[in-house]
Amino acid sequence: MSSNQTGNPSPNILARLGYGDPGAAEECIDRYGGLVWSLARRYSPTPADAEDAVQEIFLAVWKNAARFDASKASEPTFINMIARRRLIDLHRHKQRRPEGTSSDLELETMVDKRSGEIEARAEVRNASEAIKDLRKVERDAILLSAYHGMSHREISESMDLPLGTVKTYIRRGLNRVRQQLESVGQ
Amino acid sequence: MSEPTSFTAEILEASASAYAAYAAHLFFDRNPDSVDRDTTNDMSAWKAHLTQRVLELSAAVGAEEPAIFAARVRWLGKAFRARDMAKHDLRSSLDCLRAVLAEELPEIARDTATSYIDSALAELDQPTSQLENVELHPEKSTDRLALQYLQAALEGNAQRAIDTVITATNNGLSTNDAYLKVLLPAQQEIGRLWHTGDLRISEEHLVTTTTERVMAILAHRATRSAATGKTVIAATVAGNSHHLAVRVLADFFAIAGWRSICLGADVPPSDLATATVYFDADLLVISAALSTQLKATRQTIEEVRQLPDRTTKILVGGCGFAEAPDLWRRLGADGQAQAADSAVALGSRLVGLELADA
Repeated sequence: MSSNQTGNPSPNILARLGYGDPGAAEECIDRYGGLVWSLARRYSPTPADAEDAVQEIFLAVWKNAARFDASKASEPTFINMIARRRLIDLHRHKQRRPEGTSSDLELETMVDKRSGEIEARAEVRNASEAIKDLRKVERDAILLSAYHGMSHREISESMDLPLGTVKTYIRRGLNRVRQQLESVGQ
Repeated sequence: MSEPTSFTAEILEASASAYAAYAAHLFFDRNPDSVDRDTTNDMSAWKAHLTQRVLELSAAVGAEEPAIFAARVRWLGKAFRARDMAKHDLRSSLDCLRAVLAEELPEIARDTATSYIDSALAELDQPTSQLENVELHPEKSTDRLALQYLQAALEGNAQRAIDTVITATNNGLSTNDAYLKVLLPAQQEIGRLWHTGDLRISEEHLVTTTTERVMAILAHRATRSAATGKTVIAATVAGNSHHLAVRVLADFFAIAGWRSICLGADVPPSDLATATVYFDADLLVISAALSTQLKATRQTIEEVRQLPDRTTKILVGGCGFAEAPDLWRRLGADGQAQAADSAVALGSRLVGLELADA
């Protein structure tokens, strides 16, 4: 697997899918199949549901790949976003909560429900601003961990980075976010 | 294969079951009455049907041959009718698949995929070809023999079936005619009967295993030509479990004096390449029964072509090529085997042999 200078996986798979490059779909499945499968398994009530979800997620990836903008998100983040949206759709469609569902899946809904909690929203906003100031690799690693619920090992695989490097990025990034939040609160 | 069609074929294959599931749901939404009309009308059966159609569509798009998919749909129309399934359901399910692909495929892939389905739907009501309507005619002596053979085999009387053919050869029927005018027509007849819903799979297998036994005796008894010093490998490609045709080809090459290696059914591309080296083959004959096996055919040819310092010739054959006469060339083969006897003639020419008079 190739990597660019920032340590991210080669960013061109989605772009290649967008203009119909032969081989891109197979490469996309090879690279992100594990990531998608781990998310689907986590949020699906049965293995059969997880298999269906994986199929549907990749179908959505093919359809939306042309919209990918590398300046706004990394490939793993984009694919996570698609996967998460599709999993939420499937979850709502089935009208039942899968076992072991964490609050990640319905984070948006929860935030909406707590719209009255202005203080909490302000903290979220401050945290979002703090995260935006991080280096891209640190931001991606933290978002994959905190927002998408991926393990460090899954992040390591999806970003094509050593496990230790991922841990370092997340630790440093969180420290910076914490420092920034403390400075805002003072 | 051009890039857009290659990409479209790849996407269809990778997500066949998802597109099929969407189409099956749409089909049930549009045809709520279908659920109870037939015993096979459950969602999983329609998903399986549509998944297979997407894979066939992928194969046709990958080969850039709309006729391959259209032929398959015509064949399905006949199979649906034979099983008392409404032809309307086939058309409607393909309409649903078209709608799903028009909505869900990446834009760059939509026009190709939907145009192939349009072509197939346009031909759905066309009459079936002569070949599809071939039946055995008792007034013709070899057809009568084939019918006697079939009747004995279907009754489970393998000994009488074998005796029917061997006795005929003892009485002057040539080995070639026993293969080409009795056994293969008998096999085609059971294929036709299965297609029209008049035969079970177990009965098809019963006849096929009996035919293999007859062929083993015929090949053993046949007078062989002088050794040519050439080696041929015959096999079906990965995914193709119908090996009888390559068994016939292997026997015909052996009778013609070739060292003939039959590897049977469902051989992976890398194994065929390895065998080509191991047996030092001059010729490789590979068979694809369905269009969905064309990809494996291409991969096999590519693997063999990549072997260093080898000039092994490659013949392809089988029903997978029936609707696309020039496809063998685009897959990188050296020729297409139309029938067992002509395949020996073509293979001999390809490796530089002068054929003895037949």
